[in-house]
Amino acid sequence: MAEEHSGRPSGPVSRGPFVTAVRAFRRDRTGMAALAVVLLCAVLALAAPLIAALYGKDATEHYGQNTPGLLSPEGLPVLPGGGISADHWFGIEPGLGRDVLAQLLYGMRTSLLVALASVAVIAVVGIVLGVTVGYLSGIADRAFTFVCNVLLAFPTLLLLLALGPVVETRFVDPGENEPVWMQFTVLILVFAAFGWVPLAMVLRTAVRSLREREFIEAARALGASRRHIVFRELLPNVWAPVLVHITLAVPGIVTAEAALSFLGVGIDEPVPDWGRMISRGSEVFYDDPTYMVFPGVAILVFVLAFNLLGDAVRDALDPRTAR
Amino acid sequence: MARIRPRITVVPALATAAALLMCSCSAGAGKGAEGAKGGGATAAKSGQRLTVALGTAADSRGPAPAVSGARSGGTVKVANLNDYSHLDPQKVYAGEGYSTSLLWGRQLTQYQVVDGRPKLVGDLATDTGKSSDGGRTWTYRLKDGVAWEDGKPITSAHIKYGIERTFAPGFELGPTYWPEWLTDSEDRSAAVKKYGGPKDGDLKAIETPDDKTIVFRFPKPQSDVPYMAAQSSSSPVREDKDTGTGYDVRPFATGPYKIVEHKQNQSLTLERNPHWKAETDPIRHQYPERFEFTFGKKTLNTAQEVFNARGSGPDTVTTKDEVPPELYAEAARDPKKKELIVAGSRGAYTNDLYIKNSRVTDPEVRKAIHYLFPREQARQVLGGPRLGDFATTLSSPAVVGWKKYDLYPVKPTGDIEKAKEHLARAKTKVTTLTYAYESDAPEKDRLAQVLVDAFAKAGVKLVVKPLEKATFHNEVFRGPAPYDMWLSTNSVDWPTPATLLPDSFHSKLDALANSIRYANPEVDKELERIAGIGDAQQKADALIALERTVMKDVPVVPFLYTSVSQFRGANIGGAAIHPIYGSIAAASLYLKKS
Repeated sequence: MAEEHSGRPSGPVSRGPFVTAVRAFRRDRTGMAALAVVLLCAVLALAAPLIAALYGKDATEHYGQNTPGLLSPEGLPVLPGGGISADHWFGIEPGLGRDVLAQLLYGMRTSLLVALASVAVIAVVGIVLGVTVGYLSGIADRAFTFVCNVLLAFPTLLLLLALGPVVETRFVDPGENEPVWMQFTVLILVFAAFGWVPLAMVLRTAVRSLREREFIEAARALGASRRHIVFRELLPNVWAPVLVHITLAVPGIVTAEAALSFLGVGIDEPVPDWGRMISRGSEVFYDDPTYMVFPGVAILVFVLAFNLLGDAVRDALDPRTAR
Repeated sequence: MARIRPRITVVPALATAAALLMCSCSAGAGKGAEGAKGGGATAAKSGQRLTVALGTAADSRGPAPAVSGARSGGTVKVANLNDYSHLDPQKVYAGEGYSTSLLWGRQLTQYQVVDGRPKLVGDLATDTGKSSDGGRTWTYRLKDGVAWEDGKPITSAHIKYGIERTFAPGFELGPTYWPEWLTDSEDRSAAVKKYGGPKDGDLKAIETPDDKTIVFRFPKPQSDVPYMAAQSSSSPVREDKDTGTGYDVRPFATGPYKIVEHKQNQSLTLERNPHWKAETDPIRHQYPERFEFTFGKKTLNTAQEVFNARGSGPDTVTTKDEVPPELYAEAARDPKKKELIVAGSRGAYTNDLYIKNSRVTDPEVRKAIHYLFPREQARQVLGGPRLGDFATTLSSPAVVGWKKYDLYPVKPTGDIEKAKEHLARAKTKVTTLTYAYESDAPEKDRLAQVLVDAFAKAGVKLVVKPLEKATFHNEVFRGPAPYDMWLSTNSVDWPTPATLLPDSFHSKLDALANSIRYANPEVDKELERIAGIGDAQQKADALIALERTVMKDVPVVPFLYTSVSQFRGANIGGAAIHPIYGSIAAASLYLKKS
């Protein structure tokens, strides 16, 4: 684990650990490729409306239903390959006849939004709780461990399955649609509520070993406040595990969100969603296997890139695992 | 009026499957140049939308007209996802239950089906009943030679006991017509106060002057007794064999088969009943030696075995389940597999968009909804033409006296311009409407999006409310139902219009019956007049005429005359959808070779 002796030069070669890590990362070709894919995904998601406008398709327009000749009376694409044509590059969705490419682009927004927002909350809560408890120990530590164990034992998936309809009937007026922000908020809150635990536990262990190190002792001897020790001395030394954890948490949340949507408790129609696309793909698999391929490959590439990126970040930050 | 609708069939050709992406390209559903028209011989005769005819005493004599090509012997395997919820004849109240229970149960009257045409004939009785006293008295005579599975003869007292059971506690689930009619009560709970079932002794309204004669005396004229006499609740029950709740598991047989063993939710085994005589029965056959029902296997697995002739697939048939949507298009494309699809009208079922009239009070708005409703797109997203044909009338063509009418013609894709005109004529401007649905299947979410899309085109924001099944039923049929629209599938209890308007469109009915809160004093008055008619044909004609008056108000938007698509193994013969009960009729099945 790279450690920083807050402010003091750390050796004869005066190079910060960050610079070292970046150099190590840049030498990792897989990591760079993964980063490129991740950045591409981010750009595509951010620019989805622009790309869709250039491509000339709307993500929620039912092309297949409103244009005769695209879908058969049973709702299957008439053209082979899931209705791939010059107009619809990735084909059209069986049934509603929406454009697959536009759905994929907007679906990526959904996935990224849920994942990044959840990870942001997880990082803040995990860091604050993990570092504080690791430093305090004693009764706070015991209480923390207990809460963590409870949360780890919690049946998250079942909670979400049960929570969906409750939120809908309890908080939404019968004359109103369930607002999209509410669906997102519920998902993000649940992912965050259970997702911070592993991060906080890792940080707690890390901080407990750092706490006894000389530079902390020195700070304490100099009369530094607890606040100063936690935020100025301890925190800068744990950013590596935080970075690794959150890059690896993103793909986990993306797949979890897709799984929830597959089960019908994630984000509802008409917001495009990869999990729901895969679920639709499984329904029509015998008749239109192409439709399953696009969201399937998209989620595979996206998650793989994030996982490889996470690995590369860990390798770069931890010289001991150098291959 | 009989009306034959050609089944719409699409035979997609195998389009050239260009290897576009990792060899997993779809073939596409484009129509080939030489798309064959029409289904096979079985499909054409299976479950057409035909109205029933009343048979004579001669028609009521057995044996049943032979199924051409049928042979005797073998074991038919029936694989259904779920067990029948009830076997007790007085509790059975569902088409599939009626249809399958014909194997072991007989009623006073029953539908004889020849070439897909239903005819109501005497079953245990010699004819469909003789009425006198303006429809207040109905007399039936039992045939000679009808017997229980132990050989004892069936008597009029057994029929009477069976009907008396419908008054007893625990029989609330079955149809309530006998208790209501025999005691002239508003509903069943009022009827059971007057007579509470066999424990209260003898029911005076039914007389059994001798072992062969049974006389019903109704306080008010009843025209539809012959049809009610065909319902499962008009089956005889022997008091010494009535095991209470146990009777729901293993009823005592009068039909061509008897129940050997019934493990609930697992299996049901039937064997030939030696005391059943074919010459007394104009409806049922006794071709296979045994029927072996199994329950619990997923329909997708069963269907794959059947279509691919794996394992016991060729000898397997379903009497309840439909071709899974995942397999439908593939099966319809392959002529060999297509033969195994048994499709037809789902009895007299219709599917309509219900509009809550007490919320959407302006008829102009309801008319706008009628024009807006995208029938074609909605059916496409649900699975296409196999779901049924577009409806223009409230009642199904399978109902006696049905006449086609189309009060506000509109093309199946909807007419946005017309809808806008009617919306403009509305007294108060409508900007938002709500649509509620049971969120138990993803295609219902997609259907909601289709509606949102259509309503948005006319400038109306459609709020969609996916509800849990229980919540939906509680709110729509028992609670306040704060929603403007929902889709509803309904059927008359027997193929006359007598249970449609009077049971759903009278303003005094509760929300369970009249969920849309339709109220038109003119209709109420006419319904009260019609209730006094004792002749079935006159009553049917008056109700069909009244239906137009009701539909002028657009209380509901007709959507589909629904169809079913079930499946049978290659070795199963005689499979056809029962035109009244809407599922494969088990009593005419046979094995092609065994």
